[in-house]
Amino acid sequence: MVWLTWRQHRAQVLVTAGFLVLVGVLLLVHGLGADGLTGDALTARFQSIYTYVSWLPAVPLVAGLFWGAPLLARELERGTHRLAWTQSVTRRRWLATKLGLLGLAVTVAGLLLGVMVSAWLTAFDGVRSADRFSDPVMFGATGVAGGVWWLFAFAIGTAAGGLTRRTLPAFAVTIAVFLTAMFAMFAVFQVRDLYAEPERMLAEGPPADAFVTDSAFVSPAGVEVSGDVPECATAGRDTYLDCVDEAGYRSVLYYQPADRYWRFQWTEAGLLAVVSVLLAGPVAYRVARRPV
Amino acid sequence: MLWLTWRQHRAQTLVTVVLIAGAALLLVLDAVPFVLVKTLPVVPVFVGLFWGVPLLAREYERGTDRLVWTQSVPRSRWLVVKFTVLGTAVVLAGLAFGAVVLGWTASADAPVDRFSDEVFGVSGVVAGAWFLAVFTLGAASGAVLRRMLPAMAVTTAVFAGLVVGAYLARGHYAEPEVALSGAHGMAVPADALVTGTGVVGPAGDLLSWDDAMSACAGAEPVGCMRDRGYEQQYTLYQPADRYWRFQWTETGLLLVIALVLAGVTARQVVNRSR
Repeated sequence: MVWLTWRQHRAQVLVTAGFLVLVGVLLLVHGLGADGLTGDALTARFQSIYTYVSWLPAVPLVAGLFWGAPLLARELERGTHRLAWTQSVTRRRWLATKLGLLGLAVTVAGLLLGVMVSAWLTAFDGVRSADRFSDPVMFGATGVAGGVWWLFAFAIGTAAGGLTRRTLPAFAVTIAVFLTAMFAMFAVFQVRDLYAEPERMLAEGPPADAFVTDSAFVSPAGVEVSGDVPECATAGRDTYLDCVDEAGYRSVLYYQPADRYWRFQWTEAGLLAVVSVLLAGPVAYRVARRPV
Repeated sequence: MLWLTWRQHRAQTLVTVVLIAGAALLLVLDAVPFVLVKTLPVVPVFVGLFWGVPLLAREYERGTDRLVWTQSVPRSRWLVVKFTVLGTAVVLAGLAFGAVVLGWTASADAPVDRFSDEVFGVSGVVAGAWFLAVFTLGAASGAVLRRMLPAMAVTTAVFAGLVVGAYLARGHYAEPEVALSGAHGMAVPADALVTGTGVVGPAGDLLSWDDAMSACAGAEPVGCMRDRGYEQQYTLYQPADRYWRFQWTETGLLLVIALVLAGVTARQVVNRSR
């Protein structure tokens, strides 16, 4: 079974390995070139590649498409499942081996990418957006969450393939579900803000690397106002902040301290892992039970 | 032939119409999270995957090309009709999407402007050209590889290369303007496309940050730069009013690419026997 899995999926494995090597070399060269740079020069060097790095949240989707979607859909579409599932290896074992080995492989690939991005980020200490916690792109691409996003996409792809039983519709469903999941997590619910109750501080500025989630003004009487300060409703855009200052208001920040990074990583990883199992489990069960 | 084209591709057509309507709704409601804005340049690849690749790869993979190309309609006409009808549909979809994105960037609270890398390729007329070029890319890789999955992988990889190429090329469609730092900071106009930054040498020459820093390798950078007379900073930019000129330049380039890829496809289909 291990040989069969390798033989059927070696193209994906090799292309992914090649991609990781390519990204690794690029990040290494780029990161080493930042050695000794400071200030504007460091920021300029970081910005020169940030556009490409910001595509990283889409990479797990590609893994879901090419690792997950064909896993069941290709067998069912070509009818080769009739051959594969009538051998001495039971269908349940066939599924368990494939899901286990390939799921492990994509997770490891995602983790490796995360390690490389984390290492690369350390070369840009202090640059805005080059922060693994407050920048949404970097948070999802580093640490354990990076690996689990890949596993999540793989589970979506596999489930879509098992349900639609055809490759092309499975691709479409995978893309739709993955983008919907991202959209729901980041736009509708902003789930990352909910992983822990934010700290509150009356602030000149937040502590370094903290992830600021909200801000507001506090009146001299200690009442917090969300939105515009009533005394300054008529002030112009340029004079607004001065007016707020004169009226005795202070700004208050809600933030997640930098040391919560790993706690948040594990929260997101756990969340996605549970959803992955919930998605892939029923499909695997259905495929294992359904008559050939 | 028209009926056949519609019948074989109606799923793609309907899904695309629904998705563009959905995207328009999201953009109008201004409910697009930052992470998704960042991935906007990826949109055309789906046209290649779902419109381009199946066009020929699906016929070859299933063996249906044997049926369809032995009918009264010759291969060349089959291909011309499919390319014309689907190409027109794809361009219209791209232009519609481009108009939606352009309208969204014009709204006051859009987080990016229309000239930025994230939206330039999926806004205005060039969106139609991108859709068409990636459609022909998918069709060509399907015609050459004759299997869906490898053709999809190749389309994705080449598309990523094209986007990176476009990012790097965009700064060179016209000679950039130079803004120098003064007492009031850098006077780069709003919404301009910044293509490079660095320091001005003592002779008025422009050095990129990397060059300036490597000249100072080993030394304490700030002091070394001052000693060498690198006082002033510069920014290279393309003014915002060049947007439409750049749009047409990139459209022209992409149409040439689309034409070449369509030629490759036609050659594969018409000349090569099974």
